[in-house]
Amino acid sequence: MENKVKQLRKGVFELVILQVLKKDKYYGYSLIKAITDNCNFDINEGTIYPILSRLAKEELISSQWVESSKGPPRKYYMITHHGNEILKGLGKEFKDLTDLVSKTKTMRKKGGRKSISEKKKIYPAREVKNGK
Amino acid sequence: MGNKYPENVEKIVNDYLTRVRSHMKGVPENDRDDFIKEIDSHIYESYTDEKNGDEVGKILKVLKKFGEPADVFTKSAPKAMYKIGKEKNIPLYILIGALIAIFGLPLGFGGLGVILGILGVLLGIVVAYYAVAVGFTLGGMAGIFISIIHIVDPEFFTSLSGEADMIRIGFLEFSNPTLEGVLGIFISFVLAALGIFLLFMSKYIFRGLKTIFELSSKKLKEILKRNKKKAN
Repeated sequence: MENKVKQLRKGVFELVILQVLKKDKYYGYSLIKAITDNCNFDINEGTIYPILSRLAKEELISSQWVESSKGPPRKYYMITHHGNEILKGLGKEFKDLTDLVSKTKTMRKKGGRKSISEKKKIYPAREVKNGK
Repeated sequence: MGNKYPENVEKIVNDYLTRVRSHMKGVPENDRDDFIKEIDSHIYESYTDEKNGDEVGKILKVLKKFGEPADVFTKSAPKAMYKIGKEKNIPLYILIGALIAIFGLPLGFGGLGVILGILGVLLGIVVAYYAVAVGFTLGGMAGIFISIIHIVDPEFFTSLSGEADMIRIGFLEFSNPTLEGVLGIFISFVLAALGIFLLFMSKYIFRGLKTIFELSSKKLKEILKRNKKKAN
């Protein structure tokens, strides 16, 4: 179970990080803060570093060390042009996937009788096609 | 890491970073240092943000939030992080694993013998391969040449040796020099083509063998080095 959750989160976190970095540049600690502030489950803060590193290797984000007056230098991350392009595609894909998840969850048992209104709910695309 | 923490906190942080480092084997040295620096920075920021509790309580809380190094940097994580340039080393583990599995030897001096043996076998294969390929090619070419002479002058070899016709080997005996010659050319041509094909293919076959060879000799060097260290 734990492993499944980890796998699931990993991909989603790439998307989340890109989304946050699209708004502004962040350093690791501030980035995880920005994410955990919106997050109602526990995550190990350290887990973003492997993800950041992977995104950087894929050149979806770039980084830069900046001196800080309050302590050690901070490594800032920003999204690249390529990263922006990828984010667009990922966002769309993710929406399709969540749609799929919610639709298959409410799907009726095979062979069960469906009312017209339920059919509309389950197959909106077909409904549109037939409507044309 | 400087003296930005009280002494006891500094110790805890350093110990933690050492543990993180131990989970990053296989990550290039440069990246590792950069990575540690980044995590150090994170821990410091988090520590100064933490308002409640005494020094030790604060740092423990910070590290707990960051996560156990073993959880954060799982076996797959550093590899996934540094996929590029790292991938190449994996076949070595497979090879060594296979060696241990096959020979059931821990890779000490016994393993040394095994690897030397494998290198020897590889060398033997290379030599044999080229011998066959070159033999086929040259033999085929010679065959074509002989066959052509046989067509032009059926008595050439007879006159040369003064005895039986050398070219008449078993199935080529049709008592028709032209037919024999054409068949000879055909067979020789196939032989030569096979030889050239083998030579051509060697490029690809040896690329694979070369990889195994390199990996084996790399491991060999490692073992030698380790044993040297042990001896000292």
